Formats: sequence, C-alpha cells, structure tokens
Amino acid sequence: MTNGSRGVTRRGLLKGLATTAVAGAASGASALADDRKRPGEGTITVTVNGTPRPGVFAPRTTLAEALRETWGLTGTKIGCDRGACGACTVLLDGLAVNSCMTLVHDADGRNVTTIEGLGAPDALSPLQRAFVEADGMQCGFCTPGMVVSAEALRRRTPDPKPEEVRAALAGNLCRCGAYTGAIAACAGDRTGGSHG
Amino acid sequence: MKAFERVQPRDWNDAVLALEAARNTHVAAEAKGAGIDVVDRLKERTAEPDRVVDLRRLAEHRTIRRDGARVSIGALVTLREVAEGLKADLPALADACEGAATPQIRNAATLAGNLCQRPRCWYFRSADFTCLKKGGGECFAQKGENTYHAVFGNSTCAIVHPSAAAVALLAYGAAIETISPAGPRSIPIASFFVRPEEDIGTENALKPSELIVEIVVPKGAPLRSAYRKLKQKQSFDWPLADVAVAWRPDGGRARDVRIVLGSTAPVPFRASKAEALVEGKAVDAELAAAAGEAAVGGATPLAQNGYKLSLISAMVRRTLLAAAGLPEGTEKAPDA
Amino acid sequence: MAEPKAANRTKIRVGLAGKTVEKEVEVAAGDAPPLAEGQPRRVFGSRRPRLDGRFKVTGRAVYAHDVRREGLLHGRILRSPHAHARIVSVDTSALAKIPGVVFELLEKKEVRYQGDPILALAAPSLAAAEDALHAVAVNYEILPHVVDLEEAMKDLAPLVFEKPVAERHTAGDAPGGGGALPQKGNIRGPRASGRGEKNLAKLFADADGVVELTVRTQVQTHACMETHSSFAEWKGDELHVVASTQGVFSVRDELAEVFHLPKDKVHVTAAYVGGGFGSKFGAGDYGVFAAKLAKKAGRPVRLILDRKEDQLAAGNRPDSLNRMKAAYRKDGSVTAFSYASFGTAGVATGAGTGAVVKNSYAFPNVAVEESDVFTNLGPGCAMRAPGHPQGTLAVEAVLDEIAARLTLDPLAVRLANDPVDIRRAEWERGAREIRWERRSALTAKNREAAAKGLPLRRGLGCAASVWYNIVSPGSQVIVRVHRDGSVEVENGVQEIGCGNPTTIAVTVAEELGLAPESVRVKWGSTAYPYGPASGGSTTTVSLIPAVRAAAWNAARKLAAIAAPLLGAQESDVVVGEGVFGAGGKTVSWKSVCAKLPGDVLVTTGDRAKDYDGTDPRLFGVQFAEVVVDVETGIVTVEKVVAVHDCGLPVWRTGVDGQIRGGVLQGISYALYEERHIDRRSGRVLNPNLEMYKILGAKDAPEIVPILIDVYTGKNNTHTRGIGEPATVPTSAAVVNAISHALGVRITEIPVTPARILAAVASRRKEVTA
Repeated sequence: MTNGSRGVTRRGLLKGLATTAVAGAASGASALADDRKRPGEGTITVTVNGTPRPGVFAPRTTLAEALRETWGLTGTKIGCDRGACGACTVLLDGLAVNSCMTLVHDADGRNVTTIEGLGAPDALSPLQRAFVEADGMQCGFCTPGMVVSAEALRRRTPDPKPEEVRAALAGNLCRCGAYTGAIAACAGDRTGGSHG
Repeated sequence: MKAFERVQPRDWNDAVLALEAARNTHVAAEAKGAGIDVVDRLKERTAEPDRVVDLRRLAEHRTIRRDGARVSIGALVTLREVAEGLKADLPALADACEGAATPQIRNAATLAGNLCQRPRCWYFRSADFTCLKKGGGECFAQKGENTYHAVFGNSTCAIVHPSAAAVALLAYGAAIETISPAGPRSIPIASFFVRPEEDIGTENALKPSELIVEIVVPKGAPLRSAYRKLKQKQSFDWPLADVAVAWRPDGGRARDVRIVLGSTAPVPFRASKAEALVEGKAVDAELAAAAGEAAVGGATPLAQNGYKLSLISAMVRRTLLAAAGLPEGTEKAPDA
Repeated sequence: MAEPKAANRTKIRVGLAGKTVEKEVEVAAGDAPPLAEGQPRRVFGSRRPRLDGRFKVTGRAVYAHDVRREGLLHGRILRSPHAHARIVSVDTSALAKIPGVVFELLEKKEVRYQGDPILALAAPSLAAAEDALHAVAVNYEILPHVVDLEEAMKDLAPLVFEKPVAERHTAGDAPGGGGALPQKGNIRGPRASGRGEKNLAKLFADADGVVELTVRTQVQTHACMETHSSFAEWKGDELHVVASTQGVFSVRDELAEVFHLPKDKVHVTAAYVGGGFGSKFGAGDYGVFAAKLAKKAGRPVRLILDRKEDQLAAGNRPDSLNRMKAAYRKDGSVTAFSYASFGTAGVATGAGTGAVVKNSYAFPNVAVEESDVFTNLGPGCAMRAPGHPQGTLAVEAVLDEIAARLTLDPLAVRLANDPVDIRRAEWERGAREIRWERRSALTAKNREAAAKGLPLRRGLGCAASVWYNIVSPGSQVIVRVHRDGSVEVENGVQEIGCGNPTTIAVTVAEELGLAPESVRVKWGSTAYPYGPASGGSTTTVSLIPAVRAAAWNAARKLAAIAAPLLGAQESDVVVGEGVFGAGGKTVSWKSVCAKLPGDVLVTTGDRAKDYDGTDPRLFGVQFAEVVVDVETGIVTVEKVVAVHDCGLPVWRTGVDGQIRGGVLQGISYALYEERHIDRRSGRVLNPNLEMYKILGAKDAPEIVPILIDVYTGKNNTHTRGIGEPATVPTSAAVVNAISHALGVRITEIPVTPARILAAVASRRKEVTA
C-alpha cells in the first residue's frame, strides 16, 4: 500500500515497553478473581449439539464464553460482545439468539445448537453447501452466525422470500459485504446472484 | 462484568421476596429477564449489582391470554411472540415489536424487559461518564452530542425512551400489572412512565422490589391503529422517531384519538394538540398533514436534533394515513 | 530458486480483450510465457465455490481468536479513558493479590487519546483478566485536548505533540513515502505535488468557468469482524505466534526486530483472518504485548481486543477537508485543478487525499497540497485504498458541478476528461446497464413529484475508480508432485477473505491439467515460502504469476518424462485434462507421475519483474441509483453497477465478491458510518457496533459487477488486483446520485437524514427566494 499511513506512535510504544515485576501467584483466595464459589452456582447441564454438557460456571459466564473456552466449540465467534453483530448466534431450543448476551445459566437444561452441530467439512448440511456454492462469505468470521440465522429461518420457513431472508439476517453484520451470496444461499438461489 | 451471585427464585412471589431481602440487607440487586439490557449494562459496568435475581426461568407469565374484554400478555412473553401472536388483535403493538432490534434479540427479549430497559443515551451507557441520571451533576447530552436525543421535555435530561412497545401500548391504553411486597397493583400505562423531573433515577413508576407480571390491553370496540418507525439504516438501528396511532371509528370519524410519539422525549409522548385536531373528524391527507405539523408544536430541539421535527411531522402524517387505510405517498418513486 | 538468466524479448498482444495490440516485452528467463489471447483455459478465470468455504461454513476455520492451549493466559490492555492526560501514578499493587497474573507497564508519562495503552496484563481466565484490569488504579492529570479537525487547525489549539513528529517505520508498516515536512501547531505539511503548470493563476483567469467547492468526509473505522488479536507461545527461545494479520511475514519481521531474534526463530501463522482492510499489517501493540507476557509468564498468552478498544485504537480511515478550485472549458474539460486537503489521522499521519486528482483523469495542470492535522484521537492507518474514496468523492463532486453549470450530462464531462480506452469502454458499458439515458427525464419527474407534494425522488450518479498495479516483490512458490499424482503447493500467504487458497489452486490446476479441488494448498504460515501481505490490491498480482511459474516448471519437467512415452519431442508435449499429449497420442497424468525419478518432483516459481506492458493504473467506473425520501431524509440505494478492470481475473467468483464488498463498504461509508465524539471530554461516544452504524443485509442493494478483461502485458497471467478499486468510487457515485435526486449538491458524508433535510430546506429557500 504505497499510500498507506504510518502510525506515529507505534515504535514509541514498543520502545516504551518496560520490564516490570510479575504480579504474584502468591496470596490465598482472592475475592476479586474467584467468584466460582458463590450462591447460585452449582452444576448445570446444557445439551449442546445433542450431547449433555455438565459444567460449573460463575454466574457471569456467558453462553458464548462457555461454548468457546470450556467446550472448545470455537465456531461460535464473538464480534462485538453486545448483541449487535450476530457472530455469536446459536440456536437455543431452536431459536436464534446471541450467545454473547445469554448467560450460560440461562441455558441450563436447554438445547443449544452451534454451527458445529449443523454439519462438518466433509458432511455439509444443505444450507452450508448452499453458502459455499453461492459464495456467501469472504473472511468467514461472521459466517457461522450467518449460517445459524439462516438455518433458524429455513427450519420455520423452508422456502423463504428474499425479504424474509433479509429480515432474518438483519442481526448479522458482515464487514466484507458478502450479504448477496448469503441471501442467495438462504433463499435457495445457488447462483449467488451473479451477473456479467 | 463484575462478579455477582445469581438467585433463582421458585416463583414470582419468591422473586419479589428475594429482591426485598437484598434491599433490607443493603445488597445491590437487579432483576433480570432475558437480560438483553441487564447484561449489556453489566458488561459496560454501568451496573455492578452483587446479586442478580433471575426471572428468565420462571414458569408463570410467559403466555398471551385473551378473554372477551382484554388481551393479557405475560411479562416474559418475547417480542417475537408478540409480533407473531398479536398481528390481528393489536397490529400497532405487533409491528412495534416486529421492528425492534434484531431477530436474535426479539427471540429472547421480553415485553416487560422492553418496557423497563434503561435509555440508550451514549452518555448514560458509558462508564466513562457520570451523568445526571447516574448521580452526576449534569446532563452531558444537552450541550454535547445530541443528534439522537429528545426534542420534547429535554430540559432536565435529554434521553429518549427506548421502548418501541411502549409507544403502541400507550396508544392502546394498556395497564401494567405488577406485584411487590405491598401486593399486586395495576398501573395505567399513562402513569407508568416517569419524566426526569419527577425522578431522575428511573424511567418508570415501579417501586423497589416491584415487578411487572402482565401487560393488559383492553379490547373494546374495534380500533383503527398503526405503528410506523423511521430508521436511518433498515437493518438493526434505533429509530429516529416512531409513532403509534389508534382511534375508534365512528361513522367515518375518528373518536378517542391517540397519537403517541416515541424516540422523541424521555417518555413515550402523547401529541395532544394533534389528537385534538383529529378528534371527531374524518382522517384525510390534509388533516393528517395538519396533525403532523401540530404534533411538533412546543418542541424544544437541541443544537443537533432540530432535523427530527420535520421527520416526526411526516411520520405522524403517514401513520395516521396508514391507520385510515389511505396512501402515504411513498408507494412509488418517480421513474423514467 | 531459479538462477538469473538472460531475459527473452517477446512479442505479445496487450490491451482490452478483443482490441489487443502487439507489443514487445521483456520476459524473464525461466518465467512462464504470458497467457495469450484466445488460448483456451479450463479453470483459470472460472466461477467456482471457494475451496476453503466448507471450513468457514462449519465453524472449523480457526482464527487467532480461536486458539486454545493448556495453561492459556488471557491478555488485556489497560487504556486511557482520557483524550489527553499526564500519568501521575499507576498503582498495580492489587494485581499481586490475583493468582497467576503477569503484567507489562509501559514507560510513558502522557496519554494522547482515549484508548492510548498504559499497561497490559494476562490472567488465567477472561474473568480474572477483566477483574485485574479493574484493580489497577491510574492517577491522571487531565491536559487540554482537541478532537475536531478544524479546531485543531486553529493557532491557539491545544498541541497534540509538543515537538515535530517524524513518520515512523517498522517492518510491519506499509511501505510508502515520508520525508521531512514543516509542522506548525497541529498541522504537518503541506506536502506539495502536481503536474503541468506550476502557477495556475493564469489558467483560472483564462477559463470559461471556475468551480470552487469544499468537500468533507468523516472518519471510517475498519471494524473487522474479528477484532485485532494475537496468540503467542515460547518454545525455548523460539516464538510461535498465531496472528490476526494481513501479513504473516511482516508480523514475523517486526517481532524479530522487537525481540532481537533471527527470523528463523519467529514463526507466525494466520490460516484464517477475520478481515483486515488495511488495519492488520503489523504485529500490533497487542501482538508485542502477547509475546512479552507469554515470555514473562512462561505460558501461552492470547490477547483479543474488545470491540471498544478496536474502535478506539486499532486504526481508521482519516477524515478529510478538501478545498478545490477547478477551471474548465465549455466542453467540460478541466484545464486547471487546485486541490488542498487537510485531514486527521488522530495521533498518526497519512490523511492525504490528493492522489485521485492527479491520477484518475487527464487534467493537464494540477497543484496539490496535502496536510496532516493532529488531534487527540486514535491513530489512523491504511484503509482500503487510502485517500482514494475521499479524493474521488471530492473530484467527482467538482465534475458534477461543472456539468450542472454547463447543463451538460455528467457523463459527457467525464468523457471530456478521460482519454483512457479501458475507462471509456467501462463508461459505455456501465451507462448501458444502469440505463443512464433516463437521467434527464428523471430530473423532470422529480420536479413533478415535488410539485405534487410527493416525498420520493430518484437519482442517478456516477464516478470513476483509479488504483495502481502495485507488486510486492519476492513471492516464491513451491509445487510438489508426488509419484501417486497428488499435488501440493506451498506459499505462506494468509487468507483474509480474498480467496488465496482458491486462486492458488486454480492457477496450478490450469497449468497441470487437474481439477482445483485436487490441488492441496498449504498457506498461512512463515514456514512456507514468502508470500505478499494482503492489502493494496497487491496480493493476487504479486503471488499468482509466481504460482503459475512454479506450476509451469513442474509441467515442463513432467513433459520431459512424457515425451519418450509419447514418442514426441519435449517441446511438442502439451498438458490436457489429466493427460499429456502430443501428435494425437496421450498418456495419463498418473502414469507420467509414476515415472518420476525421485519420490517427489519439487519445482519453484519466483515472481518475475513486471514487463513494461500497459498503463500501470487500474480503472473502473460505478453507477448508483438511489431513492431519497425528502420528508424523512432516508436514502435507499437501489442498484449499483460496478464495471472494473481486473486484468485477467483468476477466479471470477472471488472478484465478484470483492466488488460487492467494496461497493457495500462504500455505501456504508457514504450513508451510515460516523464516529460521534464528545468535544468536551474528547471521548468517542459510540465505540461499538450498535451506534457506529454498519450496513446490514436489509440495506444491501442489487449490485451488478461487470469485468472488462484486459491483457495487461505486465506478468505471465495478466493479473491485477481488485480489492481497492472496487470501493474507491462507490461513495462518490452514491452521493452524486443523491445530489441529482435532490437537485442540491451534497458536499459532506455521511449523508444522514439531518443532512438531507438541511439540503432540502436550503433548496426550498433557494426556490422561494
């Protein structure tokens, strides 16, 4: 990028990195960090992609965090962590929700379907195959959430109109701008709306 | 989020008692439904309760019931369920819920939560500002960035009330049914929302440890009603203005006219001058336009939001025409 | 790699497909001969699904955010909540009470923007890291700040930097010019450039007409869906990093420099990256922090910026204020153009927008002055076609204004200034697709609608795109053909959405007569040969000719094995689908591979120097159709036609996707995106994706991408880039369409309802006055 700008501060920052002491793993239980032993905790069980997953979680743990960090299901992404981008979308008892705004305790005893539960690279679901064929993605980071939102629509409306598809995907941001392909995939049009 | 303890009450009475117990022992507590608003504030650390009383799993008050004279909507009914279930009964409310937020949020967010959510004012939402509403000395929006703020009733605090459902429910004359340590009560929606001048710390009349359990809409004679919202971006966005209207048709004339403005004032706002203008008349394009003009009379726009007045006028006119089944003028763009 | 040999002078045909002309060029010895017009191609240039799509749609593509390890620590950065402050003290004593926390405190005494980093720490869980962040107490002394471009330009404005600032470079920076420039107050510059006459005064005096116009654009943030992040792990004295980056090699080089390590001890991978758009070239402070914390803790560290940090401190497209004066003749041709730009990249530089006025059209006399203005805001950085959407918005507004003053069709004014044959073909094709001929009739229909009191107006607008054939040298590719016929290809390039795994496979498959799906591509790691960074529309053009050279070399070696089997001369052997053939006979791919003398055939390909070929610019045009509601100020973009030159596209599906994405980012920039800043505190009020508005599925119009194939004659595949050109003209075309719909020139973006309604009110005043 010949016309790119150069950060003024970065090198200054790097040089400014000081070497300071390691904060200790010394003292006993910290009220700050350890909220695991508080009331309202206890073991919960979330059925994830058909498999019951028991776990002990601090009340402030979100479903997204539990899926990604505890259960290793990193297909669910965190883009904004505030329910505005939809990258974290999962199905909770069949309905699309933002897992970043759902506390994991709220999923206790319920069924969660993540992107991993819809298909695998060598066993794509029909909708996943449609996303690939219509090229409904670029970088792919928003794609799992987009596919899950599309799946939620298609389960209720197998043959949706384009307006219904757009409405169903209105909670999923794609910064690369691959909406056209995603809409086409969800609407069952595999050409990706290509012209020219 | 700061660490907190979670309380799972057995039922609604238990929830009220849990909140009251926390209050009596000076434990900061918050009630949480789906948590769309609460979790947002917890993450921003503008809310740092030590205890969260979780209503989400309660069995009662999660359905819509109809009897002859009323539609009763449980506090935990989601926006999606309202949008899908009440299209025929209460179209303005269904449309308000249908147009709110995103599909993911509508699938989780509850109607009671929508009514009780805290304002979206960026000064209020940011932990970096201690505004009047958060116990500080001033409303920063008044002289700061106020492009999305109130154009009416903004002299103390310039928030706009964020609930879309509230706008429609005010047009329908709903009642808010609650329980509290003092027992159940019914609050007419007209007195549910509280102006900053009455109490800067809250946006509604709920007392400590009081919870909404049901929203009741009377069903009298059939109404004409409509809801319209204006968003800059058609995918998720907060409205610049939203309007609900309802009236009782009487031989072509509109009776008991209600015109409610949303996203324009700290509370959902009845445009009484516009209502008076329409009362007893047949709605047509000319009357609707006049009502639109009248609706913004007395507005006190801030430095950056004067633009809202003309679009509020247009939205009032269009919503009246929509309720009357008349063309809004936006049916077809010019083409050649 | 290949020995340098004498180059061959070869005659090839170059130019617009169907209208090529012969040209003699110098092709490096050992390079594949350039693809010729009319040469049949099986898969090169085809539409097909992306080969890594199945990993993306199933959530199995692993990004830096997703790296997990036993004993992982979670990193966080403590940042200034103030726009400008002196750091009086930092109290980290509470951190000692939290088990397993390590931290790094920066040696800085002053913070210059909200989000300026102060300290980084890592803790065993996300919650513990958050708690630790809140346990650090910083005492600040607030200093005066300035966050507004025009305020910062004033003489008595608070100074962002007390001393002159030099542009800095690290291995991770994008390359570019620099040099000493004057600095007065917060203004650094001007940097002067131009062409033709130095003194434009006489040209302005002699002109048939002169237009003066000022156009403003806002800051746009990259808002990559994957926030900036890095994972670092030390194995002995070697550093292993998984980065969310546009350049694994630039991250490696930067980390090697910071940690004083030889390059062979730094290993960087980035198989999948959740967007970059110019903001992810370097290791990033987060990347350096992660590595330092990991070293200190002796455990792996993953550091992910949250969305607020990303919006505040991870880069942005600077804003701009462009003052223009253009002299023109009656036919609409511009004779002189004076252009002064000011812009703020916050505490950084690089806000210039003057390239477009020099490079897009054939204006004979141009004088440009570009100045950076410092403000107490997060640093800007390269963003998709730096300076170009801004400059295009400015220049195209002037051309529309000239057309309006001369009552000429805006397209006629473009053509009067645009002699380039590729562009002229694009103007013609695009105008046909959008049905531009409706434009004057629409003007009349809009007036009728206004007279009837109806709220909707329709508008058409157009704008040109210019970008450049930029080659990042040094790409190398290894092709391995195994005895069983399987094929691997290695290059370290990362995948950020452009589809490199697919373009690489397609290119190798074409050369070897195979299906792209059967070519195994290994990418996204410094363990493989050097690949270019993904940015500046340089990736495909820098990489693909090397891929083809490697595959071509393999094909030649295999042809030598096939020749005796076919009873033919090696030079007569051609590659067919799964076969080698000569003289009407064929032998199968597998049978030839089985005869390999060794276990595997390894060939390499280098990116040869460009031939002189054709114009180094990339051209495009876009047309937009909008509907505007003049009562509410809401704009609906109905259709965008995007006609572009991408040389010979390698993978059309991917090119289409880049065009659509560029168009949507341009619309989002024109209509929605805006950083709201509290002037008093200097804080950004909407560092989130809720109120920083990005276009969504309901706002996406019909987009018609059209490619004009061009034999560029610059490399063996006539490859060019497309990422930047696709977004350069969109906002200008949309804004010109809005101006047409309203009958008022819009000169500032984003075109919010407030701006539309103000424009409508100004027109009403004009009409009634």
